[in-house]
Amino acid sequence: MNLPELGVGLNWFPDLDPVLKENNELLDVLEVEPQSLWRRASDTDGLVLDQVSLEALRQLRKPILAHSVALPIGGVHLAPSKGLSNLSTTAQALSSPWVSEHLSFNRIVDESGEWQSGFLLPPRQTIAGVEAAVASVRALSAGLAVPLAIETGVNYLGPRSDELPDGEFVARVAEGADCGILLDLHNVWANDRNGRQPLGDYIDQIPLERVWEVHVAGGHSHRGFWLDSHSGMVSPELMELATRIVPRLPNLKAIVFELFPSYLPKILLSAFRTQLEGLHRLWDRRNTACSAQPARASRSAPSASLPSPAEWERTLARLAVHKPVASPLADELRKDPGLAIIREMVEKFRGSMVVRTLRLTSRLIMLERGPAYLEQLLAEFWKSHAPQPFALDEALAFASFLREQKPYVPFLPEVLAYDCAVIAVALDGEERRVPFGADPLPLLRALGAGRRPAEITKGKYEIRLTPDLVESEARALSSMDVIH
Amino acid sequence: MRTAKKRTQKVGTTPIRVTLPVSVACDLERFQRALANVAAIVRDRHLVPDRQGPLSCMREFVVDRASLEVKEAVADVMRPHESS
Repeated sequence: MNLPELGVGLNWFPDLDPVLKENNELLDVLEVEPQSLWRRASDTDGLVLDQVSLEALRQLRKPILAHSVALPIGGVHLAPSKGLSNLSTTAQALSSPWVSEHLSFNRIVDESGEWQSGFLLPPRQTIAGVEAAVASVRALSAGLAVPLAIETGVNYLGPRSDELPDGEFVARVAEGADCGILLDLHNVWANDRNGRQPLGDYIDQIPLERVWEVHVAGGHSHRGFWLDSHSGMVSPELMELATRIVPRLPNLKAIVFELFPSYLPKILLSAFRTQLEGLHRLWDRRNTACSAQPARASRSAPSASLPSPAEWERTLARLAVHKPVASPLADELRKDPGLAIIREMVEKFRGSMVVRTLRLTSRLIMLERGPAYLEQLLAEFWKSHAPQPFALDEALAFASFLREQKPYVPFLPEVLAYDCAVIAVALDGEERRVPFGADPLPLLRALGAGRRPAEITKGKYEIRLTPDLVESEARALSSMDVIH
Repeated sequence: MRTAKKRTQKVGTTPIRVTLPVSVACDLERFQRALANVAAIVRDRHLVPDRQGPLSCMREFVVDRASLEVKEAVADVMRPHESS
């Protein structure tokens, strides 16, 4: 396949612009999550591509890779046609030479309808799982104008005796679907550290000539697990492993460093630069003349047929979001310590969507009743509400939950109404008035400063919120958030 | 879990409306500065409850998007359903 050699890159978020500017000459390519450019259309339930953000990206004048996070291709449910159409449009708008997506699943269809797990979950690694994933990859590929690479995912569950080894599963899917591989070395290394297949065995099992792109990242230790948290620099140990692996990848076209912007304040700019320089040395070790992958180790015997991929996905997803599920598989998975990590990931992400959208409300609850009370309310909410891909929807669903539950928190109705009014005005540009039975100035100032209001004056007050956001500011509120 | 603590309460008699551009409301740092400016002008105009005279008509304070300065405006009446 004739793909361009791109070089060293960074997963791009607007908040990473300071390091991009500081290290412009060391960044050959930017990788963008297309879904970060999708916005909820104000007049329909559909999604639109934010042309303002798209143009801002173009102005960075770098090649861009589209790295999708919302249409995983490791499960039995094919990507929705609208999502696929949006992905294709975005990839073309970005002139992305290929598109990558995760070999995971997050869409569930069961008796409660279609819903999402809120986290990219590991697929069923059996022959039937391979067939389901191959069908998903082919369906996604068919809707794209450029080639597709599957990303090797993180899996916090323990290895199972009835599944194919991780590397073999990826190899079978990539060959069956005739697609590329995005080798996320940090994911595979994290899996190794957490007790799954050793990285060396994994590399020996995958078709290395199909690896077009490598991801590296930093992580951290948590409750006995190594998390794929994108929380800092690549560890020296992983860099050393990468130094040995990269020369074996004859078709490598890009090495991308992944960092979540929220960790940026903890990182020295000089360390970031040193990291990029190290990745350039790694890139220089690629060997386009190296021979194709030597014969791989003989493959495992066909794995167990049960549980089916559909049952696996339904069970694991329901467990991940605390939906009731009773089956021998559910009993097995409940005993897996990795399930608690998955649940924690889902909950932390859902909680963060609420806290940063309903900012003053969540502060009020924590300051008046304590952080544990907010966690208790969120836990109750999560039991009855499936995760939403948009932070806005997650937050507004929680707001409805609070209105129904009426927990005792002084000034909650007013502050919640205020938070919701800010969102509403930003989205539709219509003025809103929020009545307060107490002086909102000391109340909101205290919450804004993160402290409990000490003195409140009762009376008749009103805040009138007037629309003045420019389009890009308003639309940023309705962007999609996906954890992976 | 912590239960809600009691706090000092006073009673204000002047209805007050603050008009705030939503761009300021969305930016926590500017939001804080704007509310501080409103609080200062409210204090200057003797609308704090312990210095307040008999019931007066509604006062409206408007925050400027760019400068965050506050000006007093002529307020219309509060809508009945919002002033109860």
